[in-house]
Amino acid sequence: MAKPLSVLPPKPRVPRVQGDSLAITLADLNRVVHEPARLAILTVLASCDTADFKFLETATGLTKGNLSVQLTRLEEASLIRIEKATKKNRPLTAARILAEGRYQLARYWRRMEEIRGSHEVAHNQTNPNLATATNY
Amino acid sequence: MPSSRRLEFAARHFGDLQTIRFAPVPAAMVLTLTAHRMPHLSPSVGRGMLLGFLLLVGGFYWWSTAAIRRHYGSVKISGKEAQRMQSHPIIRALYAIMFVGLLWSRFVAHSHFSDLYISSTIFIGMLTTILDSTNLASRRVAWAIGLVVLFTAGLFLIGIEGGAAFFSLAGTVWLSLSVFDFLLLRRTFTEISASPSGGATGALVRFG
Repeated sequence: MAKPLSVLPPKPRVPRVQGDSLAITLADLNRVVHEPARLAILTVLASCDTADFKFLETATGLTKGNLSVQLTRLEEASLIRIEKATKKNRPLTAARILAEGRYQLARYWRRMEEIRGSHEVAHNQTNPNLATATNY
Repeated sequence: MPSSRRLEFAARHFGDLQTIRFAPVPAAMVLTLTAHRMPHLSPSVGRGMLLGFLLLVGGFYWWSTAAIRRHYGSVKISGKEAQRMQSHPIIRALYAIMFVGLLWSRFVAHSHFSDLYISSTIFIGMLTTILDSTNLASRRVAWAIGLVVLFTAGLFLIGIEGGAAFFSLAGTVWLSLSVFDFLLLRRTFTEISASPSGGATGALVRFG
């Protein structure tokens, strides 16, 4: 028996493989890096050699306590090194990103680019008309 | 909302944006035109004024450095990062042209060696900031305007008042760019702290 013709356009389907790869990529994100406060700290540290506590506090907009906790987390994950010194009896705390931290940050942004790429392909397949009209 | 690009800019160019610390030098250059018209001073008075000026420059530098460190903290940039733009093909080509030009002025023309050296150093230095893609667009545009003003209007002022007019223009451009850079630094940090949860959330705003 012949299949009745539909007047509606065929419903586009996102390939299952692509959906799976997106889920895998999301699960593969480094949670230590993904947290916004820690991501901001790593972004700042990746752009310089060392940054002191005050600069990190000003640049990230975090409170002293929160910044201290996040720095400790990053140091525990071996992504940064905290250097403590004293000058005229005043403590000086500075942080430096390690090679592992630099690698994990680059890897994180690469994963994010992949996720965006996957999302765009999926979006274009489900809304082919929108794909030509919008460019985001 | 500040993006990760703005955070990177703040960290990478934190030192570059503090040329305001040398403000007394361009301010004195601006006043060169006035000083040129003043009656001749005795050598002792001149030496005293020079000493006072040097103390002012040193004192202002020390005070402004401490104030900026107290307010914003401090950042150290690696030597490799500081020399990053020196490997830019245009900058390399310009250094090669400068080298040839200096050899020509020294051994063939026997004149204008120091003029050529100073002007080409300033030109390449300013162009380095303009070509640096890690800079914000507004800073690159401001420096490009400064470069064009200095090397077009400046050419017409070289012979006026024994070069004092050109010196004054150079000081005005330097001071203007220093003030612009410092205001940009302040605005960058104000935007970071004014965002809903500081730069932390902004770090994620990379795509757009």
